[in-house]
Amino acid sequence: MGKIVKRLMLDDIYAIGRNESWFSAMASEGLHLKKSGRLFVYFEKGEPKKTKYRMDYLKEAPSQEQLDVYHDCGWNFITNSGYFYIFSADEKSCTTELHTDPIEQGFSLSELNKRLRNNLIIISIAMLLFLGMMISIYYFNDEPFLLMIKGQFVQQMLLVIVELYVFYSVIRNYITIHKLKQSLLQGAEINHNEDYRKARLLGGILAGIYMPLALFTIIIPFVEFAKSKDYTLPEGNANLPIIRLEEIEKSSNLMRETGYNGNNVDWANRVSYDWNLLAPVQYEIDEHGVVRGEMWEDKSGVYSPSITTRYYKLTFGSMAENLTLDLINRYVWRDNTEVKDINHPKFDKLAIAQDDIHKQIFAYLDNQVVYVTYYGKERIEEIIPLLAQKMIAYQERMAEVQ
Amino acid sequence: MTEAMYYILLALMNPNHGYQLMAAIEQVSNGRIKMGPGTLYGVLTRLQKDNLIEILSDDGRRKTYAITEEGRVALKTEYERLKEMIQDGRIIEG
Repeated sequence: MGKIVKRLMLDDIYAIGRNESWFSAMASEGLHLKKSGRLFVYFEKGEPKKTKYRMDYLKEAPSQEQLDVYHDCGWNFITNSGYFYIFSADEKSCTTELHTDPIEQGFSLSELNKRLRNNLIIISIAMLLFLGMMISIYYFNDEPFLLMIKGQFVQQMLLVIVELYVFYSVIRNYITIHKLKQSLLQGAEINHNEDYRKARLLGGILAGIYMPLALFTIIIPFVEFAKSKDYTLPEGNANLPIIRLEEIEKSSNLMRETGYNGNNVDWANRVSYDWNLLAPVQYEIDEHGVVRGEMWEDKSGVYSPSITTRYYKLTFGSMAENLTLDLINRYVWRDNTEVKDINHPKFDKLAIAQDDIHKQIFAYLDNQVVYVTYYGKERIEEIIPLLAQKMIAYQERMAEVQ
Repeated sequence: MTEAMYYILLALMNPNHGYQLMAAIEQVSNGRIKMGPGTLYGVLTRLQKDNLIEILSDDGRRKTYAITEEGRVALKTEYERLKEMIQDGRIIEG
């Protein structure tokens, strides 16, 4: 037995004439058809031989008697791919053509034509539902940009492309068989030497685009998962784009207040890092402190300030404005809380909201978006310059790393 | 009725099987029709589904087909139609 050579089935399996012509061309190069699947076609290496091939659509598996009759007429059964049975004959032998009546052959494709049409209807409905779902996820969401950054937007879009490709294949299948059936019913025979190169080239280009995309779609969630990490915020300098409590609070008695400890992370003082194609650096960082001997102004207990920072470095700076607006929409809950826009030379946009001890700062600078929540006594005006420093410093540090 | 159907029904007036059926078709058509095996089995499947032919015997190795009563009626009708067409065409010969 000769070596088996694998080739991608780039053309439509239903393009009978083109596939037959391709198999013949391969045989004349010494590659003889052995097996055919949906994705790959297997050839056995041997002597070049002029061979003709015929694909026959048989709804029921042929009996031995039927194969014997085909054989007696010069046609040898090679393999089948689904309902397509492939036969070959020596080019020089005087065989009776497999199909001598195109109209009858057209009838034999009617059932397949109907099945593919039903497929097309079902997948069209599924596609509509799928696209509708995708659009509504973002259209009806109050914070679509935040969802894009935090969710699987890129992956979902790739999935849409992959789905569109599947849809395209189903349409192509149907059109191919429908056209073939019509032309057979009009008495035109299948052109067994139809040019296959163009269709294979186009199929190759599309597969070359589609397959890496499909692979990419599968890989992305794993990368996101592998890159994401949670750890306890170090007490000292952590090189993070955040303001530390000790920089805000005036008291030297400030101590860390630890919280629930799970998976070796102190969740009251933790750093969550996430990666996403649209926002490759994402931090959510909490810090809790306590000042012994000092009370909240309302005397409700020991003064225990806390700060939470959400930081996003975006791939596209143009999303920064909308992301900032989404953050405001998401995190300013109370209707009577006033959001004030402030013109600040260090930021492209700065907005603050204040509700007694609860202070919120929303800002972006180039492609960095940040949201800080501070619970404490210190004034918001004193925190803003610190934030500007941190963002500029972080940007410079990142530029150095690169 | 297509030509292939017509000749297969005609040949199956005598029960027959696979390869010999092809020879029989060639014979009844005076050598004019050499039916391909793909066409033959395609039509046999369809005729069987339409109850115009039946399998007389199937010993696992070979199936013997025969025309049914329904098949005979269909064939007769087609024959009459063709005959009328020939008669109508006489004017061609003048």
